[in-house]
Amino acid sequence: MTSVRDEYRLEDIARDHSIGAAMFVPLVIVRLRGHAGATEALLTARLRDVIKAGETRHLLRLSWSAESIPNRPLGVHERTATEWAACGIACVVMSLYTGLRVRHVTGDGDRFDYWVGDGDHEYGLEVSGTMTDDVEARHRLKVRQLRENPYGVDGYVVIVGFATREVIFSFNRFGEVAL
Amino acid sequence: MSSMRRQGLDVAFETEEARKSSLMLEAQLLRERGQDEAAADKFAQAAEIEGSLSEVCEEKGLIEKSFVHRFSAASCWAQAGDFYHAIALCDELLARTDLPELVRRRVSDYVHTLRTRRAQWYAELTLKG
Repeated sequence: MTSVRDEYRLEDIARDHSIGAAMFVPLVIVRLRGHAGATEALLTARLRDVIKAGETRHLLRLSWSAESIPNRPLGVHERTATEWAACGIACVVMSLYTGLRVRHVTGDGDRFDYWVGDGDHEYGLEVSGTMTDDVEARHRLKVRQLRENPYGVDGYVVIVGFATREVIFSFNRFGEVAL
Repeated sequence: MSSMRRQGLDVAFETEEARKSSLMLEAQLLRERGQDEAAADKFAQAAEIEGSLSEVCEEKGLIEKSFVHRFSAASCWAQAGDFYHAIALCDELLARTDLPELVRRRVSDYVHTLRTRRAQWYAELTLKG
């Protein structure tokens, strides 16, 4: 198993994706900062069938500008803050490891949250965040959900464990049964 | 890999696709903050855009992608509180013979939920009246 150190500037998600991802930046900072003035965080990214078959581990250093640190309450519920912070991290790993853009938001009941793609093709992206250590169980659940999408497309699942500082990022084929 | 085709879409389409996504995210944020009127307004704007995106996809032969945007338009109207337009769009989709079976099932479930909610809402209005 390899361990590679990758770097990304959080604010770049606004440039790299088409969905107005800037709104996720303060939420990511609040969920990841170790202390009020922190401007970086380290995460372990576990990639499954992304880039190459099987699992690879990457050490990811995420940095942000001091100006991006929110100086007032975010005004969202804790659960929403966690989910949207995970969406911000999903934008980061999509850029770093696939080069695909998060292109648009899905409607109700599409079984995933976003459409991602290049100029020619789109895939699903399901994202979830947790403040507990249940990342593997959450990942299994979300993979099953994505594989039941009504459009029959393959897709990605990103699960962010903020307590354990880890990200599971997997590519999954439509309809395939998980072992 | 199994994917949704999006070949031949121009920058103008991408700009509108991005705009509706921002509107939907802003609407969710506003609803989260209890600003329901402002959220409904954003969802209605997103629904109009989704309807136009669906038409563009259909003109370009991207039929499956047109279904994605048409169903999303219905869902945005529902979230804006407009059952009438939401149900009409779902019925339009269900009338198509080329709608894939899985999408048909999903739209059918969704419109059933909308009709159930509408019936509950009518009953509540009648009780209050």
